[in-house]
Order: sequence, then C-alpha cells, then structure tokens
Amino acid sequence: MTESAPRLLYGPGARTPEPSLDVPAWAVDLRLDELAPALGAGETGLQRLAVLLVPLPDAEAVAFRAAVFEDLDRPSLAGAFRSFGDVLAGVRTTLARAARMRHAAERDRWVLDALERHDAAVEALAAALKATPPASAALRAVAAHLDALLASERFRARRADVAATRAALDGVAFRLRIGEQRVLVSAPREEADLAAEIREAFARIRDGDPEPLRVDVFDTLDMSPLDSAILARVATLAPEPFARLAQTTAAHREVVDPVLAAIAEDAAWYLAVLDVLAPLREAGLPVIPPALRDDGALAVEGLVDLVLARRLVADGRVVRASALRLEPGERTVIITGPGQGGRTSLARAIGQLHVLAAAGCPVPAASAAVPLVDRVATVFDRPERLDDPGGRLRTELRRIRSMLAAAGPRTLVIANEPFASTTAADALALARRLLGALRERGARVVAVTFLEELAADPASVSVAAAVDPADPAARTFRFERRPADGLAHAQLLAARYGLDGAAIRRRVQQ
Amino acid sequence: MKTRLLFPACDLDSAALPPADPDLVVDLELDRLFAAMAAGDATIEVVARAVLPIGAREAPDSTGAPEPSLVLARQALVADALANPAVVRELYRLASDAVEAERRVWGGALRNAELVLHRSVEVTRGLLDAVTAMRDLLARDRAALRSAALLGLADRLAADIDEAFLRTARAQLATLEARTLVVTAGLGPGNRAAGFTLRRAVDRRAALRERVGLARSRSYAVDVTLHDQNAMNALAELRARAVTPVAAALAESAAHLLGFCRRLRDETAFLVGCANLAQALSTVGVGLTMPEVAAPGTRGLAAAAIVDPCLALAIGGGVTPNDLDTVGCALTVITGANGGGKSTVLRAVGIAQLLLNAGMLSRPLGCEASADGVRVHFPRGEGDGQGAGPPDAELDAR
Repeated sequence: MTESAPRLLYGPGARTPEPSLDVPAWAVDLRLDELAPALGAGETGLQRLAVLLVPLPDAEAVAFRAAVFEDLDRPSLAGAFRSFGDVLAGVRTTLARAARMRHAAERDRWVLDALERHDAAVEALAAALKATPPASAALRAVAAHLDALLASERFRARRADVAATRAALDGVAFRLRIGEQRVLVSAPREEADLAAEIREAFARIRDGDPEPLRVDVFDTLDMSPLDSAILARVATLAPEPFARLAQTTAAHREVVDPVLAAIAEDAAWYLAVLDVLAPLREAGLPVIPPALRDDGALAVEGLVDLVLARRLVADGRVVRASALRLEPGERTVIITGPGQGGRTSLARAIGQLHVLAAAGCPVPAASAAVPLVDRVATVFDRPERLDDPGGRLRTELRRIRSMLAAAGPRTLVIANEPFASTTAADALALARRLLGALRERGARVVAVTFLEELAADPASVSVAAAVDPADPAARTFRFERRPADGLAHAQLLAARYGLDGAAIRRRVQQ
Repeated sequence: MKTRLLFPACDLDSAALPPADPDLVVDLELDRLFAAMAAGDATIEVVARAVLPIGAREAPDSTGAPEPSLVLARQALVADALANPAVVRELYRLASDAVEAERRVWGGALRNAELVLHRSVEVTRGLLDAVTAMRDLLARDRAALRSAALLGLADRLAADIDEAFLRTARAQLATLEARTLVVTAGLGPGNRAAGFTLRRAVDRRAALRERVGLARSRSYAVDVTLHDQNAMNALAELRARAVTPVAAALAESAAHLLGFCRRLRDETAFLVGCANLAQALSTVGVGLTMPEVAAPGTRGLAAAAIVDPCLALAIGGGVTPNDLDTVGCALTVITGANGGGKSTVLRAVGIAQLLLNAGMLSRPLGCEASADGVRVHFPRGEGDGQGAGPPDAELDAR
C-alpha cells in the first residue's frame, strides 16, 4: 500500500509524541491519575492516560480529534469499533495460547480460527462503516483503507484459502472404538446411529414434549495427551486436510494486520474516554466538545471536577457546577473562600478543563470556550518527606524555580495554597513575587489561597465563594467573580462556637 | 402413548388442574367424600379433589355443561372399575411403583453423562417392565372389561408395547451398557474430536477381528495404561463426551415412558377412589346405583330414597332417605321445621348431581337428572358456619 496508514489520534503528517507511562506530578495534583483504571486495566490505562495528558499543538489537531469523538459517539460506530477491538483481543489471546502448544495440528487449527475470526471482523467493520458513513477525516480514511484492503488480491486469496482449509477440516470424519484401556482410530463405517435408532424405536410412546434432561458435560478446550494422540492418528488416517492446514497457516504468518491493530487501539482510546465521561452523562450532567479561543479569553458554565463528579455520581450524590468568565488579558485568577468549600476542586476542574480541551476531548461542562495550553504546571502543597534535606519550603521553591524556567504564554499554572509552610507575611511576599514572575512570562495562573491580599491586586481576577445571605456561615460551594471581602469563613465559624476574639477575651478576664 | 381413561380428548395432568371450588367443598361437606375415596392414599385424595368437581368432559378445561354421552362413557368406565377392582388397583400399583422407582434411581442432580446414561438405562428398563406388566394384566382380564376406555388402553398397550418393540429396546439398552463404545466424530475447536455419534457395531465377528487387529480397514491404536491416572481420567472424559448425545436421547425416551406411567397413575387413582367410596358406603349400609342421565334441558330431577352420602359416612349409616320428584320444575323450594333435615336433602341433591356429572355411582335408586353444574349458596353468617348446621343437629338428635 502506497498511501500512509490512517491514524485516529493525530492528523496526517503530525508528529506522534511518545507518551511516557509515568504520570507527571501535575496530573496527580489534578487527580487525573485516578482516571487511569477507568480508562483501561493496568498498563493500558496508563498508556491511555498518557495520551490524554499530552496537549495537542494546534487547533487543527484538536478539531481532528473532536471530529472522531463526534463519530464514535454514535452507537452504531462505537459498537462496530468495540466489537472489532474485542475480536482482535480474542484473536491475540488465541494466538498467544496457540504459540505455547506443542502439537502442530492443534496449534495450527487455533491459528486458522484466529485468521477466520480476524478477517470476518475486518469485513464486519468495513460493512459497519458503509452502513453508517463517518464524518471525520480520520474515520473516512479508515473506511477507505478497509475498502482497499478488502478489494486487495492478497486479502481475498487469504480469505478463500482459509475457508477452503476450514471446509477440508470440517469434512474429516473418523471412528473411535473406545475400550477400557485402548482407543482404536479408523475410518468411519456403515454403522447405525444409535441415538437415532433409540428415538425411532421409542417414537411410538412419544407424547408431547417432556422437559429435556440437562446433561452437563465437563468440557475444557485443553487437549489431554489422549486427545492429542487421537488427533495424531486421525492425521495419519486423513493426511491431506492436515497438510493443507499447515500450508495455510504457514502462508499467513501475520494474522493481525498491524495497521488495523493500531487503528483498533486508537479507537479504543476514544471509546475509553467516552466511557469515563459516560457516568456523568447518565446522571444528567452536560458533556460537550469545547470551543477553542485564541484570544486568551475563557468562558465556561456548568463546569464540574470530572474525577470528583464521577465519585459523587457513583454514590448518588449531588454534583455542584461552577461558572467562570475571563476577558482577554485576564490571566491570574485568585480563588478565596472558606476551607472545605470547594476552592481546590474548582481549581482542579479548571485545570482538567484545559487538559481535556488540549487533548481534543469533550469536557464536563454546559458550555466552554477555552484557550489552548501546551503546558500545565501545579504548585501544590506536598507532605514533608524525610529525604528532603532542605525542608518543605525549600523543596517547594526548588520546584517552582524549575517550573518558572519552562513557563511561557501557553502555560497554565494551578497553585493550591502556595507557601503554606511559612508565615503569612512571608507567604504573601513570596506569592506576590511568584505571580509577578508568571505574569512576566505570560502564563495563566489559577491560585487557591487564604491570603486575600493577593486577590486585591488589580491585575488579578478575584473569585470567592458565594455567601448564603440566610446563613453567612454556611458553605455554598458556589463561586462568583467578586472581591475577596475579608469575611473569612473561619471567623464566622469561630463566632458560632464562641471562640471569636471578643468571646475569648471575656472568658480570660472572668 | 395415551392413557385417555377419564377424558376422551386429553390425558390427566393432575398437577395442572385448579383446586376444587372451596365453597362447594365446605357447603356440601365434600371433605368426607374425598377422604372415603382416598382411604389414606394421598395421591388418590389429590386426584379426587381435582377431578370430581370437573365432571365428565372432553378435557379438564372444556367449558359448558357435561354432555350426556360423555357421562355415559365415564359411567361405563367407573362401572368397569367397580366390577374389576383388582384390575384397576393393580394398574394403579404398577404405575405408582414405576414412578416411585424412577424417583429413587435419579436422586440428586447428575452431572456426568456416562452416569446419566447408566441411570437412564436402568430407569428405562424398569419402566419397560412396568408397562409390559400393565399390558399383560389388561390382556389377561380383557374378557371381563366392558368400557371403551379400558379396552382402548388395553389395545394401545398391546399394539405399542409389542414383543418386537421390547426386543429392540432391550437390545439397545444392552448395547448402551457395553463397556466398549463405538463412535464417529469430526474435528472441533483446536482439532479436538467433537460431534460424537454413538454407533451400533455391525456384528460381533467384525468387532472381534477389529479387537485382534485383523479388521479390513486400517486402524491405529492409542493405549492407556491402568497406572496412568491422568490418562485414565482423560479416557473417562472422552467416554462421557462420546455418550452425551445418546444419553440425552435415552433420557428423553425414559421421560416419555415416565410421563405415561404418571398420567396412568393419576387416572387410575380416580378409579381406585370410586371403588374405595363404593366400599365405604356399602359398609354404612348405603347402596349405590348408576343414575340415569336425563336429556339436556330437562328441569328438575326424580330420585327415590336419596341420602347425603357424607352424612352417612359421618354417622355410620342409618340416615333417613327421601323421595323427590321435581321433574319439570325450574325451581324447587324446600320448607319445614328447623332441624328437620331441609339442608340435608339439599346437600343430598347437590352431591347426587356432582357424582352424576363425574359419571360416578350415587344413591338412590332411580335417580334421574340432567347433567349440569352445581352451584351452592349456603348461609355463611355468624352462628351459621360449619358445625352448627343440620348435620350436627341430626347428630345431636340421635
């Protein structure tokens, strides 16, 4: 084939990045690592997560994937690719088992079955793509590739060869005389079918349809040495079909077409991502393809933290959505509000939104227009570790230094309580310098902090938890653009439990 | 094979019948009647409760009034049973024993096909013996039989269970018991032998030649040593796979034979019940007669010396008979003093009609009624319930 093999994850001519199986620290901070088991078992899940975490270079690449997502969201196409993937997986299992078999006649038969199943699955996939013509460039290329493959002389010859061999094997009949310690294998003779004779003899006493007696047979697919020995005798008795089997399997060593295997794997990535989003949809939460903005503005409504929402939906609990709107040039978002009020979850949701959008995936939001980022970094407080010789602050500063070195205009930084390990005054000074440095580099920042002074900076957008006028101490989990009002939740809580400054002073004076 | 003793259009499946109308049973005090029919046999009681209220019809689920011709046919059958109680009791015993033996043989669930096969052989052999004994019994006493139903059964058994069939069936069972199996097979998944068909080897000489290696066609041997437990297990598994289809075929045949025995047991149970009832009533001095069936549409009934058999059974006889002639009357009103036996007459009429419908004997002589359903409406108020009615009053009076 002269044309380049079709790919589903990257547009034609695009460089294929080599995703690493190590989950980067920022993805762990955004809790995206928790999606790996949902994306696939074991290493497969990590591989699929790695693809999700690599941002696409441009809007074209994003549109390429978004179109595939739209196609594979149709049940007919999704079903076709799912069953194709299932057959390929089954074929691989069969081939792996066959490779361990010692007897050629047994092994080759499994290979023949694998050839048969693989080729039938290829035909079924081609038929499904004909019945539901895809709209995306990627899947149209797959359909064209399949048509060319089915029309190719090689495929047709192989299909015919396999079918003829199968028919030859189906025609093999033999007779076994099973004694106490000996089995005699010979050609069949003119001998009556005893079961048929019994049915015929007893036909006169038949009346209605009595409930059939269930006879369970202990049956495995594994051949016993006795089965193998019988098979060897059968092959001696009828050598031609077995010779043909050996020829056929030798002629088609490559059972699974590597191009199709790669396509199936790529399709499986899309289906896995849709499966991860499915519980949210089933719970009635919106999942939509995001629009890309290249002016730096951001507009999102009904946004949820995907990982948290999956957990809440599984427990049947309510998921609270947030909205955020940033004008072009608004690059720093400071989130303040009560502790345990959903601030970090909002920051994570914004981070996940950018990651999913940059990977061309649908996002868990009612509407979303998102700028494309090419790097995500996090400044999250991590527990102190004994092998940190310099202490928490120093480790944090080190990490920030390397992060700053790589930061650029398309970097998104999610910061969660930066410099929490030092005094408020120091933390404020350090945070101001960090935000300043990121601003210089043009990076976008979403920071969660108790330091409300940061939110007062005119260059920052302040987002704070909404207050319930009926109960100012209640947590609303709702955020809105408004100045941080100094109404720290902690104070309200303290007052409620009689631990505010005035109350304590009164107690001490008594 | 059909039994067709009680219903001309279908065999009795007593498990599928609805229970008797409880109002009817309570108001007519039929429990005593059923107990007399059963005489301690649970199967007979179940069948009597299910079959008696239905009456003689084409099939248990037929609708409309029982037809006089069907009632007459049933009467002939019941008369046959009363004239030859030993025959119906023996038929009932043979069928019951066969059903019971089958249950003992099968016991719990079986998983191994070879075990299923051997049990099926054993069961089928027992069932064949049972139906042969039934055939012989009916052939021996054929001269004494008068009813079309029992003669038909005798004919069917004689025709279906003939010597040729028994020879073939027994030979097949013997083949299945042979330790050497001959099967043909093809190639299944992984080229493992599959699609087994058990064969009947043509003749003994060929089998012998084959065993000593002188068969005309080539054959290749696989030997299994007794000490190799894995290989012996594999051989057992192969045998099990090889006999599975034939085990299913034989189990199916056994199920047909068993179904016949079960249906015959239930139908003869009713006849044995009739014989028991006649015996019980004669010991309390109630004579029985076969009622005449009036033409359909006849109103009223004529009866001489009618009694309530349940009352007779309860008090051991000595009940006062009544004569009744209401022919041509659409409605009969019974009046009289309290405790004077009005309800007893009413019950006697109801039961007589029920027994007539079922083709059974009933008191009294010359009872004549058209066959139709019996519907009851007895008072159910406080103080009017069971045990406070006229039968008890009559009991008290004695």
